[in-house]
Amino acid sequence: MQESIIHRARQGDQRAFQQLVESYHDVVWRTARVLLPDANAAEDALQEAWLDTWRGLRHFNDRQEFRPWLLTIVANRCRMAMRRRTISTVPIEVADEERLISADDVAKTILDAERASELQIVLKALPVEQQHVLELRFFAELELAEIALVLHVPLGTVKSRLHRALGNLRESKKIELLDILNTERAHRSR
Amino acid sequence: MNDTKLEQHLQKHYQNLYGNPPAAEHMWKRIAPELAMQERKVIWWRRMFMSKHATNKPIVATQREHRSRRAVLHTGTLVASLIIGLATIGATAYAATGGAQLADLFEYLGIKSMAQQFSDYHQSKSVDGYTLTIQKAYADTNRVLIGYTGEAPTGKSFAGKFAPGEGELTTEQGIKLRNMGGIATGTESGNLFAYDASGIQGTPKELHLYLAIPYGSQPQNSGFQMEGYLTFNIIVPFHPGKVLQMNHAVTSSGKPETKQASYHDAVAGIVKGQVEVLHGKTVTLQKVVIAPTETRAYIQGFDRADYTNIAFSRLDFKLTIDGHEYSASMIYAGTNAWQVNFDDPSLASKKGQWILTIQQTISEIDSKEKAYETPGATWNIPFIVK
Repeated sequence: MQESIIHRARQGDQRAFQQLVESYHDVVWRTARVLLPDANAAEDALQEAWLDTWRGLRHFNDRQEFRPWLLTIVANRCRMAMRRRTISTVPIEVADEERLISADDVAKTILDAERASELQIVLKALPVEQQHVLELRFFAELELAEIALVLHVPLGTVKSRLHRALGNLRESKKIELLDILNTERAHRSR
Repeated sequence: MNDTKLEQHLQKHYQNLYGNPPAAEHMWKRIAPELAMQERKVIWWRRMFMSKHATNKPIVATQREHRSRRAVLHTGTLVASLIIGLATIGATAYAATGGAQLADLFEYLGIKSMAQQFSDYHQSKSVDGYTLTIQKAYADTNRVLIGYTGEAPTGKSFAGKFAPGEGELTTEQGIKLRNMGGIATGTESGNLFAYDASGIQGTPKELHLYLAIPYGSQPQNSGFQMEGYLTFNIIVPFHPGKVLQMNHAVTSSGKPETKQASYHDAVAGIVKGQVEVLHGKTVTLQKVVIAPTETRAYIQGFDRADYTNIAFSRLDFKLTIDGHEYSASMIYAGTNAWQVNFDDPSLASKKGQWILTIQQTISEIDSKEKAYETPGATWNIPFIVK
């Protein structure tokens, strides 16, 4: 069925293309949302990406898989949007991948976490690359190979970043304490 | 905390942080009007390509192929369209290796006089052993046409090295001319690209243009990765066309109404919906710009939504002159005015009464599930071309 829709879209059938947009909208929106800092920018990039897809369908190879191909187009559009954005704003500094959470800050972070979005504070302490991998994995629900395509890095790098990110979170006492806090809060609310 | 619990935490957290995607329909509404324009553009260029090059062969034609096609042309099977001729220039320029074959091509197409209006450049720039050469250029009120060729190092492919579709053309006043698309074969053969000249003010004698063509690489299963631009400065003589300022308003007969419409989709089956029949709607023909590369009509009064409902209803544009009909090749459904293009080059020399007809057509399906169409609103706008 999917092949048939792609085939018809390649022939210029707009209704078939609309079906593709509807089928893949969720995953590409989530991906763009992770890669770009605000929802408007993500939607603008997606609009361009879908038009790229429409134009590019004529050259799409039947033996290729559609979803990774589409995700690559979306990622390229997001990168272009980000590049345009960084010209007029402050460039994003690449975080040190090896940077780990300071154990001394645990108590303070826990207090902050009580007041603000708790898990977010912990996540923000992770290197940006690790955050992106987590977001693409658990928000966009991409396969690891797809994350590699989107981030333009080797699959091995994705695996190691994910491993480190989860390891950092797991080993961080903050997460455990957050869990305890959440449990206690649940008990209190009963 | 175990892995599953951690992953659940993360999923919940990101969901709260980013929220849910808007409805796919919202995105489709943004894409659909643009898609209609893209579709028309593709058809237009494809038609040019297919009528001259009916096989899947590359656009570069050998001398022998030209000769064999000449016989076909002389039988009248194919019209020696000026635009088709222009589209072939880039390709032939490369094959010509110096332009000898190019002159032969113009003669063979019967457009020798027009061919003289193209300027020669033969400007080459190289990167990583790949060479790109601007061969020919032409400019009038509607379009700037640039033909160029390329060469790859021995054993390497030209495909994917340049992205001519992303090429940028800028005037010395800093006006960026919109890339309208073109023919790029992706091989060492030629390319011809058109740029929208409507942004050029007045009727200058020549245009000082700056062309930047991106180069880079295209890894397998990936998009084009730009690394830089090859840039060219060219001065192109400007051919002014006729500009007819009109502001001629016409209202379609009848009263506006909403009608049930339907179409048959191979996957979804019968799709039903509603469509606005545009009776009683006033549209204004603002101006008509006639030039050798194209004739354009600028029309105000339509909404972008009139094109987004394309599945149920469509709008066709045609010009009638001396009993001959010319269909629109491309429509740009802009927010302020729609630009309707007619690419028949013979229009540039037509005089007398012209009638622009806009016809709405609605798709319907009868009780036996047979598709048929009914006319909706109609506008007839006559004007005189001297």
